[in-house]
Amino acid sequence: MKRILSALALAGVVVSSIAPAVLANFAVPHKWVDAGKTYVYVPGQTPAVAVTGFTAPRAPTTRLLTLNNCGWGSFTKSATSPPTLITGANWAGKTTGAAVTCVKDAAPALTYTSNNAGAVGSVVDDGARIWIKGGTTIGSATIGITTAGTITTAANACGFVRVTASVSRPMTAFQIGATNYTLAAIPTVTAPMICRKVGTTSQTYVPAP
Amino acid sequence: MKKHSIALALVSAIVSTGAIVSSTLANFAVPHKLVSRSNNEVYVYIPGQLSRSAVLGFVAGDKAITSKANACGFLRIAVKINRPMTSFSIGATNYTLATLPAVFSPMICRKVGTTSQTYIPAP
Repeated sequence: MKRILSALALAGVVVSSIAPAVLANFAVPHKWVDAGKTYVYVPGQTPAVAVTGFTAPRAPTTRLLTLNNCGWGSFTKSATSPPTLITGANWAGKTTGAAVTCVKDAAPALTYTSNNAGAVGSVVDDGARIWIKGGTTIGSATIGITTAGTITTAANACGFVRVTASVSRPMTAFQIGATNYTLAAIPTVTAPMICRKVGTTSQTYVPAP
Repeated sequence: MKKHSIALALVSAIVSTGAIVSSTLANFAVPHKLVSRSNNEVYVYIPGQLSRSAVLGFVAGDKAITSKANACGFLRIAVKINRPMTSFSIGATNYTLATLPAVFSPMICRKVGTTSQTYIPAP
């Protein structure tokens, strides 16, 4: 009996004193680490709708560009996750403009002329494609591409999104609208929030403190 | 049918006494009741017990309740015709169904990794 009363008393104390701080973590973006994997939870969203402005830079990927006769190569610019940095080219000097062309000069010439006389390393964004001048003639060039990494996952029925951190999307830093977060700084929980159907509605459940 | 009617009667009795209050955290730490929204059944929850052990001195009416707590350390008793749980006691403490705090969603027990974890509805 004493044991039961002690347990109940202890539960009461825990609920009244520790609970608010611990539970508050579930109301903001937080992380849960399990079996070597890190999960980021973003609560407070509209069910079945993607989080507006949710981006997490992807780890740079290496890409081998094929260069045309003028030394230009290109790749499609993602509408949702455009590049935020390209290494191996002059990303800082990127310009916007028309698609780069490369036309063979009139015979008997064997040369080619481009509408863009940029130096090797030049980057041109024509809106749909990113053009890189990787050389002076046909060949290939290796570049590293970092993208904005827009996360388009819709929130679940309880209004929260879970994103798994991975090598390609480490979630080290991410942004929701105008607010920046870092994985290191968001609170950690020891057990995850879950979504469960109760009757006809979905209910968020959190670990009892 | 009879069982369902009694369950509904219990529901309306509990509602009419005004015993249903908002699901606060504290309610989950003490014996409480739940009126299931899916089947209108009434359940009594006894938290704070030793996992997989019977609750010491748990008596309803004149019958001892020997069901064991789950891995999370709480016990759920369904209110039935032959066990109305109108009044019950745990050790020297007496309870009545009417005065137990009510919650709208149940606490649940879920395994997280290798341990069992009690979950409660987010406030």
